[in-house]
Order: sequence, then C-alpha cells, then structure tokens
Amino acid sequence: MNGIEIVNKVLSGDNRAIAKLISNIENQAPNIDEVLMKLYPHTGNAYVIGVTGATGVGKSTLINGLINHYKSQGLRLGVICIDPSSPITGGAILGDRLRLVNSIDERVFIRSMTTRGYKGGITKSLRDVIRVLDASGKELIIIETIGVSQVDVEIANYVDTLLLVVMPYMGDEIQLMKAGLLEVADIVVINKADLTNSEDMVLAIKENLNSNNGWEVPVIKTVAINGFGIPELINKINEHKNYLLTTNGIEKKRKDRIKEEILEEIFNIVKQNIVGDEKFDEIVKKVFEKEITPHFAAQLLIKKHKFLIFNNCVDV
Amino acid sequence: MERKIRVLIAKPGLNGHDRGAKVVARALRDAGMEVIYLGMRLTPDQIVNAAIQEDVDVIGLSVLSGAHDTLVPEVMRILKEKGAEDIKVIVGGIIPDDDVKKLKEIGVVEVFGPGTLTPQIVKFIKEIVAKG
Repeated sequence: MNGIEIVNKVLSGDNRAIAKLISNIENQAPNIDEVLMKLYPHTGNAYVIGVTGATGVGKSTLINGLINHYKSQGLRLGVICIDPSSPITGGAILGDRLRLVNSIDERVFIRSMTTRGYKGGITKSLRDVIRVLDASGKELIIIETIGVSQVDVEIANYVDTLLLVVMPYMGDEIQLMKAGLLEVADIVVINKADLTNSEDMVLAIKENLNSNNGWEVPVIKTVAINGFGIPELINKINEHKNYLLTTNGIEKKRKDRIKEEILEEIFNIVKQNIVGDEKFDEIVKKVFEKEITPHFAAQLLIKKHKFLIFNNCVDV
Repeated sequence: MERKIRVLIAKPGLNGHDRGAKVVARALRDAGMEVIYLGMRLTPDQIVNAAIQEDVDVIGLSVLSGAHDTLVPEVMRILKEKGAEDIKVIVGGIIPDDDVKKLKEIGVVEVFGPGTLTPQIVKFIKEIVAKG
C-alpha cells in the first residue's frame, strides 16, 4: 500500500491498514513522516484513558471490564497494551490480549506493543500509534502501561484521564507517602478489594492524595474479575472527563503534551545528526582524559553540526 | 529501520494442554521475536482477528485434541476471506502423517510434531519471514 492509499484506508477504519501502519511506525518505515502528516489533521477527536500500576495488580482484567461496558454503549474502541521487551534479546512475550480475548471482536481494535527498550513503562511510538487509532475513528482509546515502578510517570503526558491501579498488601502508609505515581493519577483504583485490608488501603491512600489541579482524586474499590466497582469507576471517569471539559483543563493538558513532544523531537533531531560524527571517539577521549567536560563536548558537537542539522530539516 | 518478527501463538478449540505452546513462545522470545501469546480455547475467528490487528508475520497453532482437521482449515478459510492469506501458518502438536499432508495442501507452511527442537522452529520462522 502506498502512502495515500494507506491513509484513506485508515480513515475508513480498515483494521488491516491500521495494523500495517502501526507496524510501519514501530519499524520507522521510510515514508512514515509524510503519512503521519496526512493523518494529523484527522486526529484529536478520541478521548484517551491510561491504566497504570505495578505488575499483577489486574490492569488487563480491569480494562476487560471497561471494554465490556463501553462496547455495550456502542462506542468505537482502541486499546494499546504495552509489555516489556527483553533488554538482552529484544524479544518479548505479549500477554495482555489473552485477558481481553473474550470481550473483543472486529469492532474493538487492540494492539500489543513492546517497549523496544524505551523507559517509563511506555514505548517510543506510542504518540503516533494513538494518532492512528484516533484518526481511524476510535472514540475512546485505552492504554495499558507495562507493570511500572514508583517513578514511571511518563504515561501522564499521553492521556486525558489516568487510572492508577493498586491492590491491598502493597505496603504501608510510608510507601504511599513517597513521591511519584500517586501524584499524577486522576483516579486511584484499589483492585482485588475482596482481599482483607482494602479499607485500610483506601484510608491510607486518601490521606496521601493531593488534589490534582483542583480535581479531587477519587479512590475506588474494584474486583475486576467479577465486575464489582466497574460501574462506579466508569462514573468517575465520566466525571473527570466533564471536569476537564468544563474547566478547559483538556486544552491545557493537550497543549502541554504537544510542547513536551516538540522538545523531545528537537532532542532527537539534534542527536540523529550528531551521532554519526567521525570525530566522536576523539571527543569522547578528550572528555575521558579530563580535557573537557561532557557539557562542553555536547556544545562543541552542536556547533560543529549546526549546518547539517539545519539542512536535514524539511521546509515546512 | 529495524524490523521485528511478530508471531501469534494460539490454541484453537477445546484443548487445555498449553505447555508446548508456552515452550515455543519462550523460545521465540529468546530468539528476539515479539510473541503475542493468546492462550487457549479460542475460536478461529478470534485467532484471525488477533493476527490481523497485531500484524503478525506468522501464526503458530498448537493442537493436541485431534480437531486439527476442522479447526485449522477454518483458520485458513477466514484468513483468506479477510484478505490476510499472506500471514504464514505453522502448526504444532499431535498430527498424524496423513493429516500433515492435508494441512500442507490447504496452505499450512509447516507442521512440527513431537521431538521437534525449538531451534528448528526459530530457524524456520526466520527463513520464511526473510523470504516474505
């Protein structure tokens, strides 16, 4: 499929074309920038929900509950499930889809992605893959991160509503006082709430929550495996969405996101043009022998390659 | 541009013996492939839908129930119906020799029976994906 053909098919919601385009993004196919440029005006309509939390707390099973609900409302859904790739071989087992398989059909587009070495519980191509699903007409997109640690907060920059999933027995109050994920969550879900000390967990979390830009972060108990608490969770997601829409918070979030992405792109473009420098090893040697600092070396390289960087940028 | 080989491993039909499928999935992972492990008790529809959405190069079907002669042709039929017959299908499990021939006639590229070593499967998949 050529660029225009694939864009038209994606816009018409063709599953095969969506899947192929996502692969092209992941593999950085040669014409991908042009294709994404054509797709871009058709994005911005989908609402994006992130689901994050440690390994084994029940993220996939919870998403299964969300899919069933939104599907019954007739919403067009896209789901991206991220799993870790091996730091040794680059290989991966993608095992999230397995928990969703009975609630999905052709109308729900699910894609499993690996981190491909990217940090923060997400994957490098995530923004563009969200755009593909968005442009293809999905009204709601759910993203599942890998099982994350306390500081993997990057997902907050990709989504409109972020659910943090925890479970009882994950540690005492002091653990919850530590900085990180709890500060960026819009809704906290205590899954597996049928375990004995879930009420203690609710209290401990409530004590340690800050209001998130004026939004009072709710704490919801669920048992995802049997659907307990899912309706309440759905209500809170709707409330948060309405809150963002009525306070113009969504525009701020999305503009912040664009700013973040542009800065990342600048870094990538500069890096790409410098990484192949034939004198790189010599400069490394100078730094190694304490002649110059890494900071100075970076400036030296940017100055040296300023024309290369400039010339490799397309005219917009 | 780095192209990763993507493989879907699934067990169609009513058959709970998933150890073989898991061993193969692990071996492919260790060979650097991205393996979507879909589990067991699946319909051919679910398998083909997943293969298309995940844009896999290869589907690996594990069947030990004896129902390969109804389930595998159904997977092949739906793949064709959806215009996705370019996705290669391999089968593993307990398949009688006569049936191996029949499966290959309907487009299954290879059948791996008991005693297969995982490096053979890895090598085979790398070769067929390289051929395109």
